[in-house]
Amino acid sequence: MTAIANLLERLDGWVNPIIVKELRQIVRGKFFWGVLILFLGFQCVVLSLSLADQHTHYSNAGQETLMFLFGVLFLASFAIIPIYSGFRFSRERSEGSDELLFITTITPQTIIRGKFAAAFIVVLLINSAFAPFMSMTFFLSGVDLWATFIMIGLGLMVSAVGTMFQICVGSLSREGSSMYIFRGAGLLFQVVMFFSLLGMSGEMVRYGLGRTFSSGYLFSSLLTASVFMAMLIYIFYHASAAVVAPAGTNRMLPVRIALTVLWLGSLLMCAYWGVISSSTEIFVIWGFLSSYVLSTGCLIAVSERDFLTERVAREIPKGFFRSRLAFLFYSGAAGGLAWILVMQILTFVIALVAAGLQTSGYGSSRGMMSDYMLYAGSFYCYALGYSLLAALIRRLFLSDQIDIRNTWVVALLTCAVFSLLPILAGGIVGLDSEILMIANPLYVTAVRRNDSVLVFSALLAAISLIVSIPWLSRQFRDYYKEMDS
Amino acid sequence: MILSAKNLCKNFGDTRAVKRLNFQIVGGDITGFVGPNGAGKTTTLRMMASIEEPSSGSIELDGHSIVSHPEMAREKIGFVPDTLPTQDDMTVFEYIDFFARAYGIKPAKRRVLVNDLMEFTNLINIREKLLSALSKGMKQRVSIARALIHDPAFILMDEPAAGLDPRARIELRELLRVLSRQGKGILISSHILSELSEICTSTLIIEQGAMLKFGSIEEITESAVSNRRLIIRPIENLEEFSNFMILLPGVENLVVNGKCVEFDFAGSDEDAYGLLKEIVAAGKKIIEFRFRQQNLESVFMNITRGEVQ
Repeated sequence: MTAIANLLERLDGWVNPIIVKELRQIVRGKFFWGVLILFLGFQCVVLSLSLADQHTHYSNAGQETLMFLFGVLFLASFAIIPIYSGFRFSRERSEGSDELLFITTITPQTIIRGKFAAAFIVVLLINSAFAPFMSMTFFLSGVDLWATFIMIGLGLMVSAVGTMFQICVGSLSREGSSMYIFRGAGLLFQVVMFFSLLGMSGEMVRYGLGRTFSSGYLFSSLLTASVFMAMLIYIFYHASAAVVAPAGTNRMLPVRIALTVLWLGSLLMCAYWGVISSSTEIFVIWGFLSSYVLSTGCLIAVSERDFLTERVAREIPKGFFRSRLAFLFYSGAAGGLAWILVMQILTFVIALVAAGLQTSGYGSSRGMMSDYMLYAGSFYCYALGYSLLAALIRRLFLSDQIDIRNTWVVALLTCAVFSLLPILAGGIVGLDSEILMIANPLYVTAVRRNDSVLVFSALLAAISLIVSIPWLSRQFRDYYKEMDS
Repeated sequence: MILSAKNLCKNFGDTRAVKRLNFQIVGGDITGFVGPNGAGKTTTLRMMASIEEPSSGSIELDGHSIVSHPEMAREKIGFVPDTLPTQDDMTVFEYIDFFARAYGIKPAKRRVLVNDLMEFTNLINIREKLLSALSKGMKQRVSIARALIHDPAFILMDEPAAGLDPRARIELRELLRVLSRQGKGILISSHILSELSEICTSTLIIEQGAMLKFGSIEEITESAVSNRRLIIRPIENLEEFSNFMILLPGVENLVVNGKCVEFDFAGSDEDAYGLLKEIVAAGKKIIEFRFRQQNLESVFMNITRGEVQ
């Protein structure tokens, strides 16, 4: 066997089987070739017309042509290919063909990596096919070559994020009406993001990079954007793998680790920008965003299993500290809620310390802290309160109809009912007061510094927590019993 | 090698889909898995294939739990679900090759294995055909080939004969016999009981998630009926003979059926011999004296009520 044949043999054994399967299927399908030929034809026509027209009209014909070509490329690589990949995955999930993979030795992570890599290879193929046309715009006037390269690079990264996001949506879209809801929401989000990013890239081409990113910080801004996008890919990857993982596995462990890494990574990025800008205000913004994301996690936590499966139990580590820490990270509703609480406290403390360091501006301590408490604090209380209430309602009345993994739907419905019912009741008895909207988590945005929101949301969370104590403590006890055995 | 289920239970909300199943499959055995629709067969098979997790109880492979160590099941168990392959845009070769890759089989071994398996399952001539172009029987073969790619010790099959034409069913039966001779344990669910009784060495009958019978076909057919039905054909006047028979001890529910008389007989084989002697001693001429053969179908109809949960 020659060295090359040997190498190919090794490569064949090493390559992810999902990539091989996906590429075989994609290349055989009419969809890929249709998109490629149609869009290449588009590019060809546009470029020909621009070249023919350049002397008679604009001095910035290159910019406009590049913008149009980039729009076409971006439509293919950010919208069409990722959405197509997500839909294909969703169809496989609804047909149940992915289940057969879980009785092989392949892991959920390998499946998601393979799906992502195959879709990204197609995106790269399309970019490669479009590159010669786009480089031709250099011969027209008004094109900044560096801006073009950076734009294409960023476009690729954004497409990668979009692809992973759509795969995540595809993994969620498995059955019934939820499949159509997730597919529809994913499609809508991708289209909205497409137009937003297209507008931003248009600005980059027209005005150069300096105005898009804060002038003087181009490299740092690009680095931050790249790291942020890489982190998004990382979290979507783990979320998708967790969703497709077989029942009973410790599926939340990698997700919580990934979220903790994301939390820590974003904190380090804040520290970097804090040093550059000599301000700690960015920690305040980070605190707000982190707290909102963590609060939303309550909906997911109560949708996790409320009992310890054999597969999770056997993974509980030995050792006093590690076994207790594992409770926060392992699959389980109570563990998830405890992890969110710990992360919320850490976020709050860091934001508090940062606010204390800032002596002037928005981030100065008092203003910042009261806003933090009001907005992020009340949102967490609302999220926790409605999530626990939904878990209780499901357990008591709907355990036969609604699976625990859909508790988040009950939570959203509970929130909607609590938000609308007082207003409807008020309308019937002729009472018209702002306070009737207090059960709505968005009410806080309408009333600045209204402590009644904080009091109500805290009461809601406290009552829900009290009635959920038997449920939560049972999970704690089961875990500790298993840990000691 | 033994694959066993111990007190296996599965609940979906308040519905108890599987209730305390206890059985075992041994290498080389073909076990028929029988029950009305909705009895819990698919759920049981999915649990044994490690796709579903039991609510309680255990599934063990040579004494090791595959519930807590599902990776063990993946290496030793092949599963043929009740659905056919859906990747219509793949060829037969690509489909089987993909699963060989998914099991981590090395390239050199994989190429040989895929070819051998396609020959074994009679797919070699259609290796480049798309799955969309295959008949149901051929797709079922592809599904079986996929389940065999990692050379499992046990094969679980969920309704593999459903919708197949007679030729495909006979070919499937032959394939199962060959696999059994190779020492593989097979658990096969099917509604075609006549075929199961031909190939199976043992049978598991469940209804509403609970086990009704488990054992060899002979054991089940014998234990399922308390009264055996005797058939006697006289060559003389049938009415006179039935009047004579009705007075004999142990004879119940006698009916005339064509040229024979049929009746329930509660006694043992020894008692039957005594009865025969008495008939002959009374000078009655008979040319047929036999018990009605119990088959899986009649046993199934006798012991199940067709109720779903």
